[in-house]
Amino acid sequence: MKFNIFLVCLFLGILAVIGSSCNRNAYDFSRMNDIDAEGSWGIPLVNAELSIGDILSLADNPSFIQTGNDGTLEITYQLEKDSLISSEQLLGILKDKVVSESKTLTISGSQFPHLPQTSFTLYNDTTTLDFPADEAVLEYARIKSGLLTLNLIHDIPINFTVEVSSPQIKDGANQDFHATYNINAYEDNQIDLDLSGYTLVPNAVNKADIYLHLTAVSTGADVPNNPVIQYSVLARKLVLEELRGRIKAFDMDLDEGLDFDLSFLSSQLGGSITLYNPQVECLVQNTFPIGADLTVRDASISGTGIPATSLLSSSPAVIHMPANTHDFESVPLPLTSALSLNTNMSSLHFAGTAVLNPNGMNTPVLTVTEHQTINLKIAITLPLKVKLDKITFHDTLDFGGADIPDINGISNIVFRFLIENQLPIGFDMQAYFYDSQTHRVRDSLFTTPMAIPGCYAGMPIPCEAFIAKEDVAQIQRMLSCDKIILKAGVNTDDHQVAIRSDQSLKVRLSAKFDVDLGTLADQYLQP
Amino acid sequence: MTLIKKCATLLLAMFMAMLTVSAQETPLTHFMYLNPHQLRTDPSAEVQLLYNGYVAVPVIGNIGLGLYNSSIRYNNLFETDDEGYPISLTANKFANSLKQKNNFLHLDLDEELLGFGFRFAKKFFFTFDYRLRGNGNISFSKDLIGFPLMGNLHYLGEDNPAKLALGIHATLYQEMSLGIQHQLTPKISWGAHAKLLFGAFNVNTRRLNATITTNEDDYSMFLQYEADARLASAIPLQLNLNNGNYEVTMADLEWSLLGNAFKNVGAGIDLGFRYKLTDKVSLSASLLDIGFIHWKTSAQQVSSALSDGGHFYHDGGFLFSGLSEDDIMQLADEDGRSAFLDSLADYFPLHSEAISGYSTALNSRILIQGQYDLNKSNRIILLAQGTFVKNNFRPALTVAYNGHFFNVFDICLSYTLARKSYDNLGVGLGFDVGPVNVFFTAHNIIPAIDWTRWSKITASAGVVVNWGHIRKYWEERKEQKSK
Repeated sequence: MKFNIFLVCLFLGILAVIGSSCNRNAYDFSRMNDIDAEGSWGIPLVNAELSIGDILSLADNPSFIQTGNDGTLEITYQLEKDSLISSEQLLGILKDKVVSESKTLTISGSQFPHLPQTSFTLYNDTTTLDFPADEAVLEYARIKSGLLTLNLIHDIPINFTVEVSSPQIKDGANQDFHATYNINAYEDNQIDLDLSGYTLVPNAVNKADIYLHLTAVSTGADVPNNPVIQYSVLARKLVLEELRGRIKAFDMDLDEGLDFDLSFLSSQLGGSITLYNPQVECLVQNTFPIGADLTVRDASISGTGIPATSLLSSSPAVIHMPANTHDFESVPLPLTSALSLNTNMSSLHFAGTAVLNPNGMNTPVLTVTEHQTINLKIAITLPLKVKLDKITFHDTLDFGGADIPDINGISNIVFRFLIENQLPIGFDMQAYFYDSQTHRVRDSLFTTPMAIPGCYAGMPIPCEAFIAKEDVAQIQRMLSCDKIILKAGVNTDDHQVAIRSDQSLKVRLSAKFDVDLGTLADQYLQP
Repeated sequence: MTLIKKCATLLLAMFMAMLTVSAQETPLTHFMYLNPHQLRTDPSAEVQLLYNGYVAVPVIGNIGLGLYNSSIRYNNLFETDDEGYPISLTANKFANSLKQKNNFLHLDLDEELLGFGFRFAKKFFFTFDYRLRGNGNISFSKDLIGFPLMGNLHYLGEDNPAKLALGIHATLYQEMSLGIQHQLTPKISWGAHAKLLFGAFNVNTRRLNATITTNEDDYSMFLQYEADARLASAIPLQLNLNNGNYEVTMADLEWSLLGNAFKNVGAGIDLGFRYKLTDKVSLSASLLDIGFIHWKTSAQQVSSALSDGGHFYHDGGFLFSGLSEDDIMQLADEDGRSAFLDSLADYFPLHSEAISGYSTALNSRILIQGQYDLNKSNRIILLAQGTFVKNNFRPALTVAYNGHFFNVFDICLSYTLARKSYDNLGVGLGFDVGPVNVFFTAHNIIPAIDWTRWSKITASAGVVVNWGHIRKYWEERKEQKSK
């Protein structure tokens, strides 16, 4: 029994010791005021590789930027002028010209026989149409369409007949032109004779004779007065199908351009750009039986208020286009090897004059038929093989602010950019957030200006940039500014580099921050 | 103190208070000489020396609960001021205090619905028990808590991944057992229980773990995971988690419960052996709950494995190293954002399917015990025990004292040593009122004194009616003593 009592006492003693150490306040949470739960997080945000081609895709691939055969980006401008000069222009030289002759004829009343039903000649007359010779001296012209118009005003008291004929106007069977019309007494008439399909074969320098033969049948009545006939003959709306002869030099001006909008760069850019190896490919096709010249007065890049920079090494440049070339032939242009560009330049310009038959009337007789043309294709290519010398951008931009929600409990925020630049262009950038109310720069975006070296030796040089802020409140203060002073720079470090569509920029952005769950919970779970 | 802190700490306090209810796991009845329930954990116990028989009062014959918390400690959760008031929830300290894996909360339930036993031919004792038993176990890795609390920068590098693991195992079943205890020789006795089991509910996560590796240079995170769970229920639940659906349907509950109550059949066995080395020293060993249950009703398997849903899929895992240029473009408009989020679900397909059935093992236990009788009324017992929960073995060592006085009182004091649980002082009390034996045991009374130090509680209570030759037995002993 003693043993039992000993054990029970021992056990109770242990309980007493434990009990003495117990804490009655342990579950009174009235003094709880903190949750000690702090974590550190690192989150990858962006892992992107943007090639120049991707960037162009984002900009809906502006049509004036292409990728060359060697992958180099090119600013291209293609100008195609079909029928810069066409034979239809030459064959229509008479279209808007009216060639006419007018005459007044008086017929003696005594010519009218007193015996009824007697045929007699009222009048025979000849007139000459004189086609202009300043455009062409014709030997032969096949008429595609056109009219020979005869206007008659008379007071002849009986019906009569007019026969019109010309030995210089032949039909398809090489017969002279001949037409007969009946004219009523005292009735004026306009007679249009269709010359389509006829051929004009002038008898002298662009001249054609028109014969009129007027006949009538007598009524037996007296004709007391002497009737008068006024007539005119007109050749009009003549469009030729073919002509042979000597023609004057025929010219056509060309003035084309392409505007590219780089206005966002405004005038805040400094530095210079040198563009190497501009190319202008000129393809010509001349199906005329006579040669032509293209005089290129201007192939340049220009901007408003600044002098143009010519792609030509000598200006004007004359290109000769040989006759009867049915395939496009490339003709050379003298080009400069390097262009020094101003960042305000905004347009490509090409201007010149094409001249067919430059020797004019001094050339022998030639034949012009339908569908003869001079066609032109101009391709200006500016490969982006450049040298950028300290291109800088410095501007103060309006900033609408950014609404960042209050987040307490997140601190020591560091955004880290890890960049591998495969572009042969170096960049540097910093942004300052400026409060125009207090005239103070509140903060800068990057801890130190972001500097990305260009990749000139084929191996990109990884670099880092940091945005470090103490807490969200600091970011809020920074983004509440109304101005951003942006300083950026681009350069190729005295290298001549080629910008290719497959060159890319690898950007890895991660964020590191500390989280105080207690504070965070306080903020979001408060009633 | 803010509302959230109050809520959090209140929930925590409620949780810890909950663990002070009476419970059972290898209950102290195992050591109590006058209690016939010692047969349940020691099939070879010599109860035939005491009783002709017993009947456990239905429903209250034995009520047991066991709770085991391996890792949650007050002192790691709270910082106190000089007066002992908690002033801060120390989540980081708590996370750091956890074991790397196999932190767990374990619950045992044991409710005796009907039980009786009787002696036969002096050397045999037969028993019958009908019990409702259950256990639940939630295990978790340190990183499951530590990763969201401390952030991924605490897990940098391939050699330091965050290993997130969660295990949920819960079983509820009916147990009918027939037992025999036989005094083979004066020195040797043995016992066995044959059990017929009927499962009611089971959830069993076979694999539910993930590994997150954070790259120390760019913080890219690589996730690998596997998820596979099976569940079955007498309640006719059907899950449809395929193709983005999240549907749970239930058939006619009333009839299905009746029909399914005895469909998930299992079997088990307990074995015990005892040998008396001397009059005062004996050794015994028991194997308990060797068996299984085959689950058939509403048996389903839910699984998920990472799928090649797009460019985040990399080498069998989900690699997030930042948004690509295409992602950024997609996120620029609302439709794109919606499509992007939908596409993420493609990486983590959830799949459920009905299966014909599966089997689960019982949480088996092994007990090896040495007993030294100080005298006829007092004894010291050393018990080494271990429980198998899935693939984990949870050992414990108990030293106990048992004394019975005046043929009425039965007292037991114990101390149990388990992993990360060193202050388990238990007490068991029983007394007879005529043929009625009333008992109460608690494996760990520390929480009742200092709630900040709890880790493990197993307790039971019950009322048993017994009859037989107890008085005669003591009279015989008195006679022998006087001789």
